[in-house]
Amino acid sequence: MILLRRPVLLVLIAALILSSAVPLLITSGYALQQPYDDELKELYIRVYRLGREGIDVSDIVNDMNRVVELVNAGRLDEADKLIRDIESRVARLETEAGDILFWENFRKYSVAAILISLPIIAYIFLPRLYLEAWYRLRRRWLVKR
Amino acid sequence: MIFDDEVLAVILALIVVGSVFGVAELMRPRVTEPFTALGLLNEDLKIGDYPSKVVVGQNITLGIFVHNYMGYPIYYRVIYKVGTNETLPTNSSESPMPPIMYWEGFLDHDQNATFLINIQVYETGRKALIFELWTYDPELDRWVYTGRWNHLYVDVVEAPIP
Repeated sequence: MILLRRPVLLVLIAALILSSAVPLLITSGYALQQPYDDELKELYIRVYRLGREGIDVSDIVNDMNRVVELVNAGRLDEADKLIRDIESRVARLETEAGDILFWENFRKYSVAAILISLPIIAYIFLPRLYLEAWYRLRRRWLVKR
Repeated sequence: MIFDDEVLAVILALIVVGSVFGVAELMRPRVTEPFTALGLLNEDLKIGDYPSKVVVGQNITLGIFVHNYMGYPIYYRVIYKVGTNETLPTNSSESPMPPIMYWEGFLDHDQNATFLINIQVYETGRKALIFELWTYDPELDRWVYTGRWNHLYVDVVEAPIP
């Protein structure tokens, strides 16, 4: 058994403390604690996919920022509660994403179809509407002999 | 009002042009040139009037501005490093200096964030306070340097002995 002298032991303890303090110095500031970091990363990946598909996730993104603030303020219970709430909203959006996108595309292509057909509608109905208006405006007129 | 063939043709031409522009606007991609932006502001959250001389360990208050125009939400990190004019980042590579602190958050498309930060410098001399913008890439599952960075040169002096 190797016996360590007291100064050597002190140096070893000091080195151990210093080595553990270096990452602490680097990740101070407003860095998240590791469990939250991983949890938010997983949540972000799901939100990112929804956002890329064109689903409106702005409220969820704002709440995820709120989680970061709560964690940094040490209000971990509130952060946990908000994360659970965000998770349920993301899960709901994931199941509804197909429908949301279908109706969004339906609206978009309907508007495009209406815009494209406007010249044809105008070509057919504009002269008729003009004549209709012309006659209505003059219906009380009397024709002089 | 005379509504003859020529007038009808002009009105129809205007309607055709309007409908083509309308469809083009509706069908164009949401983002044609995606980008992120990083800005360094003073403690009043304005550009300019930055501190140029600081004492070792003194609290320096600065403002950070981050903007997302990538077309999707981003998970960003603003990393603070202390370097010199030889260790500045470039548009393609980050500074070789170790990170000292970072601030992070989420931004949806076309959102921005502005916040105050407090930093310190513990080495004397002419130092560059470096701020780099990193984003988390879900495809690569790692943090990626965006190429956006700011720096501020300060002269760091010893605290005067009372």
